[in-house]
Amino acid sequence: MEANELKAVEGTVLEAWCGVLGLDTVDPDVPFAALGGDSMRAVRVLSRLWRELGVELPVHALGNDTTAAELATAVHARLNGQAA
Amino acid sequence: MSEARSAGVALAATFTSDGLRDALARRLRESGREIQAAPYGQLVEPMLDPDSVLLSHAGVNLLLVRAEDLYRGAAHPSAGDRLLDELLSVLSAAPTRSAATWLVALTPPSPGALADPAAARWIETAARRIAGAVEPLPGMHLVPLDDLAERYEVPETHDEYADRIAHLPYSDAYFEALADWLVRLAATTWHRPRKVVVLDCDNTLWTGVCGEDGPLGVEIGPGRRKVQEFMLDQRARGKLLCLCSRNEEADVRAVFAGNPGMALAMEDVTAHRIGWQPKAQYLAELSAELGLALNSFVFVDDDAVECASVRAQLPEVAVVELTRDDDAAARQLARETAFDQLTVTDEDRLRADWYGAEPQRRELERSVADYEEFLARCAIEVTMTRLTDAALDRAAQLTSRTTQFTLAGTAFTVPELRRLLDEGGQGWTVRVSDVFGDYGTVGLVLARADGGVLDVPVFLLSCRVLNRQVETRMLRMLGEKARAAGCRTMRLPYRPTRRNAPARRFLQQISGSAIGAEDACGVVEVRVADWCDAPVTATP
Repeated sequence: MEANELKAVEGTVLEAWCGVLGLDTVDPDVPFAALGGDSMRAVRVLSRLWRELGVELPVHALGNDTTAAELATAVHARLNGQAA
Repeated sequence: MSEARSAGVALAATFTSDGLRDALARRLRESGREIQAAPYGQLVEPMLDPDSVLLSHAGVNLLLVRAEDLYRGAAHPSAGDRLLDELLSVLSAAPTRSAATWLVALTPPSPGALADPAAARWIETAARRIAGAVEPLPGMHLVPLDDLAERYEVPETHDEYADRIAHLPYSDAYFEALADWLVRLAATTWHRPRKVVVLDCDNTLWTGVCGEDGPLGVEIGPGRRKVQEFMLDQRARGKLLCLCSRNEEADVRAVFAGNPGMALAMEDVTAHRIGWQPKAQYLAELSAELGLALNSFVFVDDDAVECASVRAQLPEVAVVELTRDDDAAARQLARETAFDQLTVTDEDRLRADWYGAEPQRRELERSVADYEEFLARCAIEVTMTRLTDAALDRAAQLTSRTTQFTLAGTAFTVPELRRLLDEGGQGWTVRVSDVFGDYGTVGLVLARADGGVLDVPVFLLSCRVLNRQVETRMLRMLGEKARAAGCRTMRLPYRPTRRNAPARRFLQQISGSAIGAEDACGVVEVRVADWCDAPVTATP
């Protein structure tokens, strides 16, 4: 159950990364900056996740070294009421 | 560098404008021009500081004001009154301080602010006052943005969450539209606007061939009607309209006289060539008849072969190959830069030339005095607090996020900071406040005394408080601490980057030698005595 939820969140996170970075696919274990991400794009990703999931994450939740899998875990934790 | 200085673009905005700056840079690169941006969120300071990106060149200055940013973070919009007054006062003085052309745009208020009646009222008043101040000023132009999103078909103007967490109020699509429009406006200061529009008739002004379909057989649907109205608007802006058509003259005249769908009348047409000679030849004849050079001509035709032939024979003519798609034609014209003329006048283009160096210098001196007065009115308070465990997080964050005003640019983690303190180093966080508000912890200094030398591996300040001489005061305060520690010299290592121009400028100010973005790392040494006993205000 828990694992399924996390999988769904990861799907949304990956979609947001693809959309903002202009990529067709994103490896969940590659850091944001390595895929062409920067601080402006990070803000756009977080804004998309806020629109789609209603999750409020601060700017530093998505840094250069953050992977999509890590961000998905943080989003999932925040959605379940834990501090990310 | 000197070329960029003479005809570049500088940007200052009340919000995070990195995305906009990049979008502008991409468009300007095509014409070999550069863009420089003032520090985040600042308008008043760079309009006063003679060394700022706005006042140190003769190109185009873009000022973007989202009115609600003037009271951002305050409980009530009236908190913005003071900053608005400062802004209006520097706006009025700006044209005399700079040979640049100024484009001022009031960017759209957020939906949240518009939904709050008190905020909406304040914003409306502020917008009116800014517009009222800008309008009469020579060399300063208000850029209306009302229909920008519509014209560029921007699906979503605002980015509410990005605004909240990063003060980034608009979507990338809106920034792209804004950049495109602003560069087009800026370009009208570099190129003379074209003066003559030469129009094909069949399938350009109407659908069909008048020689075959007859004056009532050609069709003027809503799309072609809009094309004609666009041309009437061009005429109202001072352009001369001409016809150039492969037809019998009588057939064309019959459409003008008899088709009720026509918006254009023969009286709107200054000159024409209707017949069977090549169009390039006709254009040359029109040029001779009107006494206007071909480089002031725009040629509009739907036929690809005619367009290609004019392009090949008369490269100085701007050729617009108009789509036959009725719905798309008017939109295509609206995006066509060949028609751009916009707000900028000939007088603006000449400003850079007739500006004498002497009166300008006097104005700049006046500007320095005004700047000092402004800073005095700000009543800026700078406090340095000994770095303790409780502030290590914020300190580490500052070292990793500050990119503009940082001398060495080294990022520290919390454990690294703690080790530095444990091994005899010292640190101070810097807090800044002024009459406009409390900026919080915005600076950090790390230092270690070694014999008579105070080594300063970190000296940084958030871009929010740049241009307020906070850095000078920080160095002075550090000077006192160095003296207390028995040091005679402060040693400031630096690492130049493309982004840390404000830090490099500061180093130049204290050392007297310029440091470029591409230069090697180095060290500036200053005498502690120079930074302790000197008067409190910096003397240039």
